[in-house]
Amino acid sequence: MDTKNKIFNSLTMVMSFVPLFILVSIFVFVLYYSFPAIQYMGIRFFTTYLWYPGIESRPPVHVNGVTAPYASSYGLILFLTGTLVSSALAIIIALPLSFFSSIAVELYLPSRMKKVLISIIELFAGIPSVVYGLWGIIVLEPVLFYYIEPWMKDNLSSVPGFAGEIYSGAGILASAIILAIMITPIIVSVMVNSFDTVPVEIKQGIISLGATKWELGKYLITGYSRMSTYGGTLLGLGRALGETMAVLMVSGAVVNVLPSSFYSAINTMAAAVASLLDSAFFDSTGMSIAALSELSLVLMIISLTVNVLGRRIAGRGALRGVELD
Amino acid sequence: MEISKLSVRAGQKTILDNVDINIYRNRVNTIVGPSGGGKSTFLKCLNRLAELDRNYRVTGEIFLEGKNVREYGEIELRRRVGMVFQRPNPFPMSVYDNVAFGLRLQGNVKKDEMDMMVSSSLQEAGLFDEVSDNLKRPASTLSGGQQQRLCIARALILRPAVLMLDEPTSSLDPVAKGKIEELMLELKERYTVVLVTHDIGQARKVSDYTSLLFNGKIVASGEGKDFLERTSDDTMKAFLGDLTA
Repeated sequence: MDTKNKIFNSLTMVMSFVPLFILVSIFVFVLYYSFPAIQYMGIRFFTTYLWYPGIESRPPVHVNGVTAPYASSYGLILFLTGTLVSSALAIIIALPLSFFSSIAVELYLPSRMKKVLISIIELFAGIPSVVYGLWGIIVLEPVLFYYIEPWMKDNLSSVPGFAGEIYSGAGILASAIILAIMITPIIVSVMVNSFDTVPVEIKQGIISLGATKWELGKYLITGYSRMSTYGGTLLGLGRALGETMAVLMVSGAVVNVLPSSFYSAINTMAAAVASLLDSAFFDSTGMSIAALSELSLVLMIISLTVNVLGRRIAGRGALRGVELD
Repeated sequence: MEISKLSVRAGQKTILDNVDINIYRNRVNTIVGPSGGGKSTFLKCLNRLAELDRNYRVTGEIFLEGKNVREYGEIELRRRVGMVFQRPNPFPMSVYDNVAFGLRLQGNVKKDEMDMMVSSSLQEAGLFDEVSDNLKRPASTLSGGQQQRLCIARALILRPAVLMLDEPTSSLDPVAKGKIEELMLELKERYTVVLVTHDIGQARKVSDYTSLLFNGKIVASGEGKDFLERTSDDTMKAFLGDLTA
């Protein structure tokens, strides 16, 4: 019995470190595979937007002790721009949506409907992102191309970013809308959860001072539960930054052309890794793989940071209710 | 206020059963009774807070200054009938912002006017001298008794006709409790006070008109501080006996 217990205890000890071990080993391996690219490109990786596999018919070049295809260049600017712009735009679209729906769910719906709606919202998280992407291609892109983008161009062209050529429905807007649809449930569920931790005395106190439900909701979002609002937003952002498949399908997956308007095709860091990996294996110097590793490394650092921040802040928001007076 | 045939049901359960009470102007009107007797629900009917609970069915008529409370908008009614809760519930913001909260909901108030209203409400609630050196301090740094008086100031800034206090001292120490009891006697000069308490001693000290609410029914009511002693009602005696034993 005693030995069994000991074995069990040490096993659980070991198992509890497995997630940490996996995380660290992924990080270490991605870092390791990035080294040739870090050697080859140096700081230029962060300053150029050109991503070019080089000319295979010419002999490879040797730089800083590593070998790379002739005239090859690997820069993250285009992908970073795509990731940041599409994610930021997604947040801008998702926030008002999330505010309205969390207030509606929390304050206007009967509690039975609230439960049903919350489980539906949580179901959204289970939809494979390729399904969002497919919906984006067959529904969203035509609607954007034929109706919304021409309307925007006609009416908003004086606003920076809204003038420009429309080539197809795929691009920044389509990516941002798809991402907004994917992250709204995340933000709503964090906010609804935080509303539930607000003491009933606070809610009744606000109502008894003559606040409408809308004013109560507004105060909870921007005041009492604001840490959860920030946290939920960051968690949504974390998801948007790392989303790959859906964005790959609707972004236009462009390389080497910087976007000039919201109608432009883009590419994101995650989508680029997925879409460029296949051809990268044909690079006999291995430099393409190294460059994609470095891209993954940067993406991993950004989205881990955002997720950790989001979790910490959202957690603090939930605690506030308990700590009050 | 006049309350007539007020009943509240939640499913099969009757919380208030045909309550008839008059609330007298500039008096401390006290509802006493054991916990779970429907006292808080009674108060929540007066500002229509009870209706927010979808399980509650409220019937009967309540009049404020001759007008049925249903004819007031909910918002307007809640501004006319202020409420202070059992547990101090300051919002997590500064003392100043707490008091200003209700007025800010009404729209734009000029800064100097707001300053004046905040100070006078704090003065009325007997808190001004204790906090005037720094109104920007977080409300959570105040003591429990101060927090409760802050909540009173927060209700008073809307200049309500009626101020309802739901067991306002039950979570406070004796000194803080005494201050609030004195405050009630001052407040009734300008406001109509409705006090709910299970503390007979408190009712003796401050009440002008007392009713006993027992299992959702008003079983005795009468004027005067010594009404509680003079009563011949058996239920009241049993309740008093329970508490003094």
